Amino acid sequence: MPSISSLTDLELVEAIKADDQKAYRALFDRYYKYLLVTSYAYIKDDNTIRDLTQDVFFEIWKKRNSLNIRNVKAYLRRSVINKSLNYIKAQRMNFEDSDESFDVPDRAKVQEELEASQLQKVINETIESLPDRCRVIFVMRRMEELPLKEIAAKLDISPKTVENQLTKAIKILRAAVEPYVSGGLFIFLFFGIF
Amino acid sequence: MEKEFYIDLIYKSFSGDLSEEEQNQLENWLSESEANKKEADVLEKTWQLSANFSKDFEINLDAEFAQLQDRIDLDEKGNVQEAIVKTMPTIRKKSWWKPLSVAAAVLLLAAAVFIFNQNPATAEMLAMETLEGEMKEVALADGSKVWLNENSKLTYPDAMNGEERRVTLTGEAFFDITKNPSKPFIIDTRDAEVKVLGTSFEVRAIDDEIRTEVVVKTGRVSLGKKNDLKPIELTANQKGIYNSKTGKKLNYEVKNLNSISWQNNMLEFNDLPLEKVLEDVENHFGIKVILENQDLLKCKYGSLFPDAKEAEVLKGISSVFKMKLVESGERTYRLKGGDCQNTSE
Repeated sequence: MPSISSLTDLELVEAIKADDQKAYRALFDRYYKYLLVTSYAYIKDDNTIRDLTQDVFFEIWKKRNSLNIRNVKAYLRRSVINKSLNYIKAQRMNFEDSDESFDVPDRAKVQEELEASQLQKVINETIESLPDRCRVIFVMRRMEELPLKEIAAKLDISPKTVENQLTKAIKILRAAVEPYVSGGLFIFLFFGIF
Repeated sequence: MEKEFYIDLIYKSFSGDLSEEEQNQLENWLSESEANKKEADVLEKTWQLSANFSKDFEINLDAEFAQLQDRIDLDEKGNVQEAIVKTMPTIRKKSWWKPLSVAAAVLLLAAAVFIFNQNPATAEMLAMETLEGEMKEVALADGSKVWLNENSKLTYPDAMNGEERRVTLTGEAFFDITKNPSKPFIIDTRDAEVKVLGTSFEVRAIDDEIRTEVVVKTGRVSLGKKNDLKPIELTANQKGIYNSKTGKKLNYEVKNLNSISWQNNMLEFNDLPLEKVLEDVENHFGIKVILENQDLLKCKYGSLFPDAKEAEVLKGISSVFKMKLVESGERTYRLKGGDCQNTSE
């Protein structure tokens, strides 16, 4: 029989359906970190995202006999996001607009040596530091590519609030990349990446 | 119009759709100057990059999986108990459930073992090690015997005149212990200790494992942390797990005891999926078995081979499912055709 790591996602799932524990472990190894990162975009708590991600895998094993998956990665991603959103709702995170101000991060110090990955890093860190509801809304729009209305429906808030939060997020991001825009570095970087 | 207005239009184009009029306004603004275009560019690229959000996590996959495994074990334990309650009369017929069994067989998967010698200073510690593919027999001072499987190490005292008999193990070994109720026999692994209440058992201790697993074939064995006041006691056909990270202990019935087949050459299949059966067969004989008809993977198979021989086992399995057994290369067999006619489920 072929080595586990060479199996496709769907082949692994088929094996799991036949109680194959090695295949289960292989699927875990393949996607555990990915799901952690996915969940982290919504919930910035290491313990919570571990629990939620383990929930996803636990259910895969528990329901293995009745699994019907066509795209494994998408299925796992969907599962962990649903769990994350349910968690957020249970925490009663406030998603309605209020009169809050936000600080645009001060990134005055321009770095002399830049690598392409550094800009991504700045953006990653900025997304991470967005206020909770701003981040969640942004992630739903940007990573899940959900339409405004759907985000509003899922979080039970008005589309206008979603729009405001998205504008807020992109303004913060824009400010964060400002130091890299001067001197044409920014354009250079993008050509370096793509 | 203010620059702010157009910037807002760009934001809006990210979050939703622009009206036709807004779209025209924005395009006019962009064509007005290079600076405007650059501003739009920066926003566009920032927006693009933001989709690649990722984060570095320090993860020990083994530890994370062990935690998950605990949950599954706990869950399945619940199921098993339920099943036992329902089917108690039929399960009880197994003869090795007799509480008076004197032999114990234990399988222990454990953490790396540190050597703690708690024997009196009078005894000198000796060590025996095996290499890959090697098996060795060790005679202990009290008359007990230990068979070390490959890649293993046993540390033991040359004399056993203390209050207890204590050895340490890394790897895998089968113990046949001389009975002596006044001097308990204890095996140390890094995180756990296995106390022998019967006379023979097997221990397997693998490096870097958080979980210590014990599978008892017959007899009684206790499992717990070092100096555990409440170790769990395991009897025939039970598996015990001790997780040194969470401190959790649990035990449940097991179906598959073939992990200790290397010592007693016995293969036992209690209605296991064929896939699992073939995996055990492959491991036991060091052969490769290719199942051509993948429809049979889940078919249940039950049989007992007290003294397993390659040809006998392969023929036994192939005949039950009406498969054709073909030798196809060095240590490789193919099982062709067949069907799932045994409806044991």
